Amino acid sequence: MSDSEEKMPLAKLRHDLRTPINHIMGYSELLEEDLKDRGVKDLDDLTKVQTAARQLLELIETRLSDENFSGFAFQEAVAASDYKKITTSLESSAAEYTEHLSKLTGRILIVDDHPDNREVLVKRLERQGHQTAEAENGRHALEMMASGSYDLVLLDVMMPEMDGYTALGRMKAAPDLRHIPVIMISALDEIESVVRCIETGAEDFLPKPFNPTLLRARIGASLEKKAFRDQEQAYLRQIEETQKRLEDELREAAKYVISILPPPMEKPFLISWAYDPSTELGGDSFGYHWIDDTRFAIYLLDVCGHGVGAALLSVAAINVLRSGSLKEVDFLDPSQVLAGLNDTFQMERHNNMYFTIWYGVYHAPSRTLHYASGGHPPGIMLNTESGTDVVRPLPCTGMLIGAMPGMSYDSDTVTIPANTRLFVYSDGAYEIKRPDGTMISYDHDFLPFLNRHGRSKTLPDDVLQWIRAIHTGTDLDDDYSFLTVDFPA
Amino acid sequence: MNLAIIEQSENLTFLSLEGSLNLAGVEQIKAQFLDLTAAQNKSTIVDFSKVDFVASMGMRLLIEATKPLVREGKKLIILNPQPEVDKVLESAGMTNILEIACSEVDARALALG
Repeated sequence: MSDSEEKMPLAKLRHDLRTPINHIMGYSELLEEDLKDRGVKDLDDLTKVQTAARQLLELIETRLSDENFSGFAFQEAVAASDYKKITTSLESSAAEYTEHLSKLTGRILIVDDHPDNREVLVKRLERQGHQTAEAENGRHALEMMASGSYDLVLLDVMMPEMDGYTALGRMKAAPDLRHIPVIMISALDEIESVVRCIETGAEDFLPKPFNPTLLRARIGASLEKKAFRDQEQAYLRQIEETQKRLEDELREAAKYVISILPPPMEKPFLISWAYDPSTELGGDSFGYHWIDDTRFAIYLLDVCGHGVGAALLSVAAINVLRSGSLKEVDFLDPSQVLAGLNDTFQMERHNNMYFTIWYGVYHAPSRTLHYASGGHPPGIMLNTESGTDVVRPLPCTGMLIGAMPGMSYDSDTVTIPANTRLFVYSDGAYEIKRPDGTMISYDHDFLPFLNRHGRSKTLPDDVLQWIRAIHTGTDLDDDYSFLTVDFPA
Repeated sequence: MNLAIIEQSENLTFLSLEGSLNLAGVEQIKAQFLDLTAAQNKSTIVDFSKVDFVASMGMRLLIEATKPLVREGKKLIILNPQPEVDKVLESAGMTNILEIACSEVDARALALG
């Protein structure tokens, strides 16, 4: 006996007496419904049974009320009073919830080897607004589930050919069926089997013979759970579809970004490059093209950050350079180009993003390179002097593009000796973190590497391999772009 | 990334940063840093001696902090940057909008000058 039962023996007594009387009323009501369905009109005896049961209930409420039993201690009376308030409140909430559940209907598969049991259930469930289908054993039920769609299965435990326990196991092992809720139907003495079924994944169980109220409530609760689960699955599918669509669009965008990069060139300059965005879409971009018969433009830009936003700005800026479409700007003059870009791409109008750029124009007849930098790492020249390769950065500092309106940019000119190699790159080529958290040094690591390997035909890829090795082989933190331009002898 | 307030007077804010101004570092201090710089109409000194790296997002934070001050005729002074950081700031052209000082005396003179 629980604590509450010990404290309220009268309430316990009332409960114990009410339970079998409720059963009498429940089964007599079922009987009444069935008889009416069969056309029987003379139900006087049954009505007498129901009336007697109701009188018994009234007697329990009045004769066994707390007021009639003065022998109870005061505290017990108070406890009983509180208990009544609570139970009244709970009963009221439960009644509302039961009413809500009774409105839920679905397609229910009834699996039982006894045709009479199936018939009673079919009638009762259809009266409650459900659609029903019948199977005479577990195997038949699985066949029906393979071809039809059901919201709930009422599954008997003991059946020939395939019992409910086996059918339940098959259902829970099948991805298409495991989400369908199953209520086991069983005699009360099969409770151990029911426990096994619940452990295997059955939603609930209904004891035979059926209590109509319990039947309605448990079916309603299972259908409600199924509806929630279906909704959850629908949301999940929606999320997966959205994610797939976004991934497809990102792939398309990434293909576009790569498609606008120029192909490597062999004549009159040998140009090779490597490009490795740190995410699907990078903020780096570059290009080169002849402006006229003698002047060749080379440019590389790096938008702060990476991802979709950076890629959009990068593509917009590189297309301006490719098409030479800056108003009143002479694209032969790097200073003008950078000032024009700075005025066009102010951060406030471009999602607070800036970019850095190196822009150079090579004049073939004079073998001169005219260049400017907007906050970008310097271009680097590799020359052979007295039989030794020497790398030399081309210093030129100018403000980042977009940071401040009205900026002017200095440019510089350098003569390009025979067999000069030019390196243009983004900061992702040297801002590399070692495993210990320290950064590699531009002067002490990056430039010496270029000095040692600068003549390699595959230098852009070599640098990428080198920094990946330093970064312990994981994805790089920043976009990587590296161009080499070999000027002819 | 750590941000410390060294001094807040009527005419000057003096801050100190420690760590890497990369994406993660910027996220940690961005709101407070902008609140102490861009949102105040005061020249600001930022001790950079313990900042070991400034990535592009760090540069963006410095621009966002400095631009409103410049518009009001105030300054942002970077104090004692490490050589690699100094080089990054120089090559990014940041000295067009902010000042770099090698001593606190110079920084205060620039801030109040």
